[in-house]
Amino acid sequence: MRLSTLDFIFREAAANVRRNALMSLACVTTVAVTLGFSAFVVLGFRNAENLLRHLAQELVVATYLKTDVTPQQRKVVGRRIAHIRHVQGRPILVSKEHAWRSFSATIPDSLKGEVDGNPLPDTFMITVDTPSHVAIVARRIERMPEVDRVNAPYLEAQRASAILRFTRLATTAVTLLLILVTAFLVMNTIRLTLYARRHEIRVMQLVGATNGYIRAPFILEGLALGAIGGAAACGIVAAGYPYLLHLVHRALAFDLPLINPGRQLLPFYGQIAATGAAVGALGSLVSVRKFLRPVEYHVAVQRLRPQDLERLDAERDRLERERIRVAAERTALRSLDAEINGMTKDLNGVKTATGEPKHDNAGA
Amino acid sequence: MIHFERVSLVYENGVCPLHGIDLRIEPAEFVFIIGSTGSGKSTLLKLIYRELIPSAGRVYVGGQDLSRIRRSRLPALRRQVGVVFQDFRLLPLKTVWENIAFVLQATGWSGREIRQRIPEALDLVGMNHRATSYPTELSGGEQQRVCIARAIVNRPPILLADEPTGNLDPATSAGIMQTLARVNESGTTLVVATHDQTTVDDMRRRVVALESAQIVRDEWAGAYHAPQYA
Repeated sequence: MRLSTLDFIFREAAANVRRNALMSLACVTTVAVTLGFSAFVVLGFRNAENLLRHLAQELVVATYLKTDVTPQQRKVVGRRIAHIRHVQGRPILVSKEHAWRSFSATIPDSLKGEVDGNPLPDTFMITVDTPSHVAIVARRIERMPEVDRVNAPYLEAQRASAILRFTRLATTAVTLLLILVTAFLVMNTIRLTLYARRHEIRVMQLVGATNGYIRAPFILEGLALGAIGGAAACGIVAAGYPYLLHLVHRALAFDLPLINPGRQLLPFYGQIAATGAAVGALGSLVSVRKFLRPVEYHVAVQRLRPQDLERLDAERDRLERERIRVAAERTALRSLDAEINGMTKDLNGVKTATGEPKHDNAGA
Repeated sequence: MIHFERVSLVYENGVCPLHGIDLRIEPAEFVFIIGSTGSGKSTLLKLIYRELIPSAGRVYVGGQDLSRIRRSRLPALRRQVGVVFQDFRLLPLKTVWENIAFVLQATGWSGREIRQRIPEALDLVGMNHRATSYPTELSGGEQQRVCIARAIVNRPPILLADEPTGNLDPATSAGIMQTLARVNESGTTLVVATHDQTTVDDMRRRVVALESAQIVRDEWAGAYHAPQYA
């Protein structure tokens, strides 16, 4: 692409924004309001997901080792468990000595004498990254020869996993729906600005500008307005979200693991601005298509078949014959009129000679 | 250069502005298309720059059949045909200079070429002094001149003018026609649709008369009316 072409596209886009300031403002406001609202809804869903994930991490897989496992083997098993995929952090070891001390503190002294030695095994307490991976991790651990049995919260994990899946799906669906709504609103706003400039587009077509050339400034304009609207939406979120968090914290007596309004939100701001720009450009692209249809399609012209042409010819011949007939009748009438006029003149001449009143032919 | 072959046009509502038109216009010719309002003059021009496609028959411009031309080739065709519109179609939010530059920019000319060509075009129509004015600040005649400058600035081989002197006083009309004649002298094929009798009688060029959607007269160095009525 030539430099002058790029220059033209940028200049046209800038001029369009300047000259249609009110419509541009309407477009930016639409993007800012719809994206701002969407951002809050999405943040709500993301927080819910965060909360669920946090709760899910409380689910612990307890691994009981065989009683004959040596401290050396125990160490190796711990390392192997830590390396299993989806295991979060290092597994917490509850040694049989520690377990016995805790257990014996809870039973009456009379019963302690009944127990021979320490029957409790070494135990590893394992946290998994998401509930859906609990079963996978548990199965991997069960296969280890040093492990006696595994106690995993399968049912709870299954339920938590289903709820998380639903929340994620809902977040995606709501995000897509809100983007669609934003795109629809932007498209209509841009269509209004394009309608106001349809003559300009028509002139561009008629002077031989290619569709790409006509389209480019409008898409750039949509992209810029969308990005500005997105940035404004970021402003709305940056101002409103901390206030909302403050309200939530004040209303609840305990702390919730909610998304931080600081750095944690920076990528989200980027996503909002990018969505604004994409929606603006896409809205322009779709809207401008309607105005770029070939000029002749604006006028409905019939396609004629040979028989239509014959019909037209016959109709034209009939009209021509009718025209000739009317012209002949007119000529005949004119000559008749002239004849009557001549006769009236002669009659008046005779009447003047005899002194009788003249005959007037004007009303004839 | 321009060739109509048994061209008919019928709108969806049944109105037939052109029927069975056969016409050949050679390069560098100056042709008046005359006829009363509604006789099909503007429609005939629209067929040449393919704002309309015929219902039947063929229109050839520069050897290309416009009914079969690919959509991607349309911009190239339209760059070969300058059009002076009856209603000017100037962009009201652009100055005279910008209106003309717009055509060149939209068709990919470089900035240097644009700066060189616009003064030449404005000079030809005598509008150099109004380059920074907006169309709303110009009289009808001046707007028509700008429209001509816009149509000729990329030196198209064909120039079409639809009622270029409509609504203008006789002196301004004469000036506009002189400008068009100068453009024609430089080798541009000129087709002017008009019902301005004085203009046609003064210029004495080829006259194609339309009546009831058909060509009823095609006369070299003709007048507005056929010889028997003159």
